Amino acid sequence: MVMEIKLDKVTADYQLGPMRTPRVLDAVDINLKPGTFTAVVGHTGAGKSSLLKVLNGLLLPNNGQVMVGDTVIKQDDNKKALKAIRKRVGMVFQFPEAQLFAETVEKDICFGPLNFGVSLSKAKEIARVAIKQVGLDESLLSKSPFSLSGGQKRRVAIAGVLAMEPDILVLDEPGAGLDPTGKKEILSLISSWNRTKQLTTVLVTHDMDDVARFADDVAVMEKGQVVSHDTVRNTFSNQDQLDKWHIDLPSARRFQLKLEQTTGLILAATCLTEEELADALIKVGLV
Amino acid sequence: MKEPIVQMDNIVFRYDRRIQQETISNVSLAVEEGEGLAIVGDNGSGKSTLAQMLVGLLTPQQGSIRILGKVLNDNTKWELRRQIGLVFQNPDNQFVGTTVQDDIAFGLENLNMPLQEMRKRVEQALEMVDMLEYRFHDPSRLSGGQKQRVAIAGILALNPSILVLDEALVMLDPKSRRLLLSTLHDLKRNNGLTIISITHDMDEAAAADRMVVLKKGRVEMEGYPSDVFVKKQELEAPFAERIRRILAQHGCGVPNKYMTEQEMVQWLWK
Repeated sequence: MVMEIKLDKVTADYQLGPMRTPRVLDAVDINLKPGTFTAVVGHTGAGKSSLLKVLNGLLLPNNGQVMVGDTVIKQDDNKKALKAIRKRVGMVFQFPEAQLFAETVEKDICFGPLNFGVSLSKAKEIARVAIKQVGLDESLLSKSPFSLSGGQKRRVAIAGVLAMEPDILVLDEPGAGLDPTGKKEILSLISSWNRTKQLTTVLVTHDMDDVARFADDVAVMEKGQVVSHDTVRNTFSNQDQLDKWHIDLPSARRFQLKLEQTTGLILAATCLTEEELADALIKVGLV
Repeated sequence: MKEPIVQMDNIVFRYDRRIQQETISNVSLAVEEGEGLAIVGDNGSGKSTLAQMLVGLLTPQQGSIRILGKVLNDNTKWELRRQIGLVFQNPDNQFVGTTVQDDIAFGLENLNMPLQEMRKRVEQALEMVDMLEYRFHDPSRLSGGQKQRVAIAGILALNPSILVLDEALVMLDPKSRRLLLSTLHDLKRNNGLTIISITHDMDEAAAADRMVVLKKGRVEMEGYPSDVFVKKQELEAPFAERIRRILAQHGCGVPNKYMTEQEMVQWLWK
């Protein structure tokens, strides 16, 4: 099922006993269309991870509401409504491999589905599908998750989330700490699930090259607010705003601007990837 | 000639002695004082294992490690750890304090430092990573990038001679990362800090004095970044080198040598 996400003036903070943190989300309005791939970017501490947490009810809004499909998350929600949300919104945290716990990869992946009332035989079947979806071999199912490499562990953790068959996938820096090849593979997989299964995808990342290569839209966060929500190309064409938000450029665009400044030449369009840049350089006759 | 500040000789390490597979096989590496060394390699190539051996968290089964001229072993590691600090990739693995400043002070308290000096060091360290305004916050509630900055401040406060970063900047946004790298670079130039950085960021590796490529626990190549990136085409390259390779594939007459972005712009505009 495809699902839309709507945030309406969502304000949230963390409460720890009597202590309250300043607002981590401050009147956030955003509307994510079904099947889109949105990158959430912003300076450290801008509220990106908190935004992901309100999407599956880990952080409840003090004010405003979050709508996922036709389910509404509000401050005083009971556990049942939250359980329904968590089944639909699959969440991959920073360093998700830290959550692996079971003796075998299979048991680990089955844990989520079993908790949502799926039978053991069905859960095992789901695990077999999920492990292949993350590009790993079925034979790993009987191994201990702790005997795997970092990249494999990361994939097993993501398989555990896919096993819940969510309609929306939210990921917090899924590539952090992986080698460049491993990172590219994970992001390509995420992008292919988005395209083939219409899985609405929300990705938090600092890597603007990944944003340029994989996302459709960009949501820029600053001080707990979503200050811009636009297509990737529009976002990265708006230099003055980007500077104000302290948002970096994809390498290709950064290089393009440096070149344009030095030479006085202007390339035809905003280049987002190295291939686009190379084509533009050839077209304009610089090489 | 001066002795290298870190000298690893024929290091061998296996996590499981029942298995033949060595995580580190016969690695020898010397790092000069004040040098910036980048260590790159795929996940599982042994980079983090090497880092943990450098601070005595793991002990090599064969070979020796000398730091500041002293052999690293169970007797010397406590003393040497005052000189060599390791920052992990996941900062949650090293927080102990309930506020940011307590966390930074923890390492200093263990050295029995006078309170005044401790205050000064904590402030300086937080200033360096641009986190002073968060000194009373709970470290576990900071964002990923802020946590990494606090973790680095905790080590910088100890004023080590050698800083080992194990992917310690991955969660920082690009601007904070550049800022922190330039702070570290200043410490290297002005205070002679030696920096060993394990990284997947090839632009960071390109800016190091020297780089080492690890593969399956062996040193596959070492040298100036500009040489390594041209010789090792299968290695993910810094941006300008990626453009150079694409243009070369299109049959454009690009020079067959490594160029920085600046050199690339100059070459395009010749």
